[in-house]
Amino acid sequence: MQNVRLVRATKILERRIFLKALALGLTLPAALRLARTATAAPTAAPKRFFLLYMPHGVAPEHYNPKVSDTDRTMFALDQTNVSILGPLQKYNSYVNVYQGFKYLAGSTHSSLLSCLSGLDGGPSFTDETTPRTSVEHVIANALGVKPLILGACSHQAYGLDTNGKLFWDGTAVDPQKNPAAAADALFGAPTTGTTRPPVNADAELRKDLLALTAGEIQSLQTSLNGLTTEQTKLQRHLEAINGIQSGNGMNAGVSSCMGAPSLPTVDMVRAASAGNVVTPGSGNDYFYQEANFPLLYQAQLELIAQALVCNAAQVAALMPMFTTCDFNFSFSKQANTPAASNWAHHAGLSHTSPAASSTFNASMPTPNIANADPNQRAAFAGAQLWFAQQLDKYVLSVLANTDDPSAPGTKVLDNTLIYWMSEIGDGANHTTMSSTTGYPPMPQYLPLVTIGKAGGAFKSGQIVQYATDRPAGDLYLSLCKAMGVSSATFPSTTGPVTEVLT
Amino acid sequence: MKRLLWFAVPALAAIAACQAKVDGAATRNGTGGDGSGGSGGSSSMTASFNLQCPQVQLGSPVLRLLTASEFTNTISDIFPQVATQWSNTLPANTLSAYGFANDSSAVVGPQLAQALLDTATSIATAVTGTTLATTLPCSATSADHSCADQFVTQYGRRLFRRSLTQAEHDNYLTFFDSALAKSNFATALKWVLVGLIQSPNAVYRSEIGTAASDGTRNLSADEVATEFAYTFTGSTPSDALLTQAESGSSVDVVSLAKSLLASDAGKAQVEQFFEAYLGYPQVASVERTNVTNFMAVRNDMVQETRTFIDQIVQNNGGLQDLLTSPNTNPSIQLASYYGMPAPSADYASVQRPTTYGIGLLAQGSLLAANALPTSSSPTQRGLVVFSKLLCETKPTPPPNVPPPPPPAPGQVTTRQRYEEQHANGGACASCHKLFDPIGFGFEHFDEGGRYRADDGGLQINTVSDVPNPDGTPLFNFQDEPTLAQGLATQEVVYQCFAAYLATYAYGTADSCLGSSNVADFKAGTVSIMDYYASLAAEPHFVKRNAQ
Repeated sequence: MQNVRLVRATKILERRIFLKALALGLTLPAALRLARTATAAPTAAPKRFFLLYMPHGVAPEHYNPKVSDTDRTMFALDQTNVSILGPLQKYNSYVNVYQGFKYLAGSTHSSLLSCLSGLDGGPSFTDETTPRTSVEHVIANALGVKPLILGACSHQAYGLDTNGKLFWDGTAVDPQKNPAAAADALFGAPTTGTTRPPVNADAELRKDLLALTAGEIQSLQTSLNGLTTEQTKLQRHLEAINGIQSGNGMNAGVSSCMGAPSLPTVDMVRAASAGNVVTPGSGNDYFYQEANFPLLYQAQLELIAQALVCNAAQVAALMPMFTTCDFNFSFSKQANTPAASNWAHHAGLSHTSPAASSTFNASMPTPNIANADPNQRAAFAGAQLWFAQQLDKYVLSVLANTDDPSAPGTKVLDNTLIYWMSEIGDGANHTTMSSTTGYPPMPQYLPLVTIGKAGGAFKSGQIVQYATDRPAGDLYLSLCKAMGVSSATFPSTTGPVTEVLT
Repeated sequence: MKRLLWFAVPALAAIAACQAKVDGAATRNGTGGDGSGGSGGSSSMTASFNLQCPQVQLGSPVLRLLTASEFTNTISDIFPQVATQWSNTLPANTLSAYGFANDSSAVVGPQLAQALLDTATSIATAVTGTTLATTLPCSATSADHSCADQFVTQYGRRLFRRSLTQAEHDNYLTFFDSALAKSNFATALKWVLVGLIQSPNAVYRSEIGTAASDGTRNLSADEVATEFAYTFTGSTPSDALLTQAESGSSVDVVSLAKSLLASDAGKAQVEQFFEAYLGYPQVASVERTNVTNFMAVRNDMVQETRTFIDQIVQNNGGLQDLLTSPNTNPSIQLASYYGMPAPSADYASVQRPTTYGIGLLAQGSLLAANALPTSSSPTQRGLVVFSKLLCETKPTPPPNVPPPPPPAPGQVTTRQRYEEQHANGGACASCHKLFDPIGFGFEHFDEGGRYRADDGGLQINTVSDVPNPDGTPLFNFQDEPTLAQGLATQEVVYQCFAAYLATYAYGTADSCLGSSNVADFKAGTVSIMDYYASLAAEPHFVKRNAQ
């Protein structure tokens, strides 16, 4: 039986928090959610998942961790020339680096289409029509939460081109390009003063309406007897509507914060993009401008960090740039690397082969290999290092130093699992499996890294290496299990990577 | 002029006539890829056309999903009173292998379904807000079932582009009654409108038709009216067009298409084709750090090319005019950037200096968009001609493609760098020999799209050829003007352009749907606008195959 006094006290507290939340500018539903959460019984900390893409692979001679031969928990991330992973060294105990995994479909940049769903289609796989679900959506769907899918110039201005199709939920998902819009959706935007019907009426009518729409689709489907292609098209539509219906309770997570967080970089984007006039089909959209890319990436990272802290998004993913993107990366020049002669990220930087020596030396003469310029190679490493530096600055440093609002005594990073990946291994060779490269030979692997402990479900602080490549899907099974999703399946897997599961 | 009933099937003679017209031999077969013909749709990763059309064909019956642009135009036309009051969260359309957003195989997946619901809710909230009494006067005096009935009848017809069936009408009214019992008139009407907007009958353009006795399918008058509106204006049919179609009166289809194309929406539709086909607006999002003032003029470059194309196309110019016009339309600031005489006003026509190239391919937007950050790119520029004018399939680059050697101003020219790496044997040569030679013709233009007399002080050599698929020269040229003039004489270029335009119009690259007038188009007796309008007279426009 409920304690009447306790119920009354809880209601009063809910009301106070609700009013405070409204005063802080949260939207009505967000404020209601916050008030109810704040008075809920303590529960285990929610686990958060963040998937970060980095285009065009790495230069392995500037990436591979320095590892003890006997103990794979003894490794350094900041002692390999330019050290792309250097910014992660201070989180060493949270980090796993994976060596000995492969993608099963696609080669070169085309693996983007299938690398996160584990599809098995061989090197010539370029299919865009087979339904597939990438790992971040597998986790979000199983948890019943709406993933936060963001992109910073993640495809070209005209539309969702092949080179931007990293995330899939049956069909390709176009990441949200505008961090301010995403922030408003998560934490509330200014509302108009129009009279609103009771929230429950809208929710109920929305549900009723989805049933009406589903009925219309079925009716149209029936009328197309014999036109199987169009019937299949409608079936996909029907499944999408049913998905919305079944996910009516799906939300972006229950906010653990007492107010909308400060997002100064997002606000810079908001101000800079205000009045952004887009000519349909043109390239003048603020969110696709090459010059705006660094700020957009930083703003998206900042938003994701706060969304994870507040648990406003339990699952997030970010796609900065796209495969074959040739943005000028001269802004990424590191103090200890020489200037590149060609800063185009894809054609200029990533396409430079490993030099005649795997040891970086700024004064080393250019070897007699047409595309093996060590200076250019170091500049490429510097560009990828810039991605890591932003990850550190805007996400890792925040999560590692913020007490989890929903689990006192732990840091948010303790309850988070970050998966950082690329569509290829060596940037020049476009590898999608392990091999050796360079002169003399050095091992190169797909750059796959995790950071975080997933609430204690994930064993971190190790180099996980296999002599024979395992499908990346095996790793995805482990990520899912750590996130509490044991039912996940991916094509052609051989089982989860047990070394990382507690 | 061809007069048809809205649902009438064009005479089969039109099909036979095509055979006679297109049989003229092309010096280049233009099949691209394996020559098996374009299957169209997003299932193909590479664009591949079959340009040899002995007989005009019918395409498949299809439900064509509105693009984000078509959806926006549709709502703006139907509810202009709330044009600025709703938020559009539709994601970018998936582009077909041909670069167009209107692929007829597009489906509604989870993200789009959610976005349609969210956007429809925003629109409906605006429509049923403070302006409802203007939109629906009875709502101010008798907000009841009968008033909702008016709304469903009037706006259902606009959104479905046909009158609702009795069953559909009843379903919406039943829903309204149920919703009214749970809320109020405006809220109930709001959700009715959300339903109408996100209905499959609204978000798909039906080109399904009904089975005919010959085993094909005839499109209905409403379907054809809808096809006219979206093909030639990118938006929903007006009330008048729907009424005209439903009356069953005969219509001169080509004249109707021309009149639609002559409207502002029609002009925008043509502009959108060229933007997607050529990708020239991409210049507005790139940087050229070594080029002074590039950032200040890159948007002007987009407008220059848009104006240049508009002036030729809207004045009934042909493809030859587009390729070889001696004029361009820069802003005054952009003309100064190029180093050419200033026009009398921004974007007024001005003749190019004789050394500054001719036609579309000399447009600064195309040249700068198809370059590297600090260098011109014979490869990228050659590929524009290779894929967009010759309809050849761009090969997939193999792994370990080395980057172009870094620029070495004063030591080697860009052409020498590319020849050293791509042309002189080696693994790269087998592909690059097909398009790099074309790109050498543009070497008098730097990465910012400006004319340059020399390349870092070194003499520029633009003498080259357009290769056949077997590597032999299709024709030789001296420079950009002779390249453009040479292309303007090639039948394959006209076939290729026509194939792209038909793909844009029909939303599919199925072979030979719009081939009836290609020979006249090549002969110069049919302008670009005439050819576009003539697609309404093709059998495919009113008739489909069985499956």
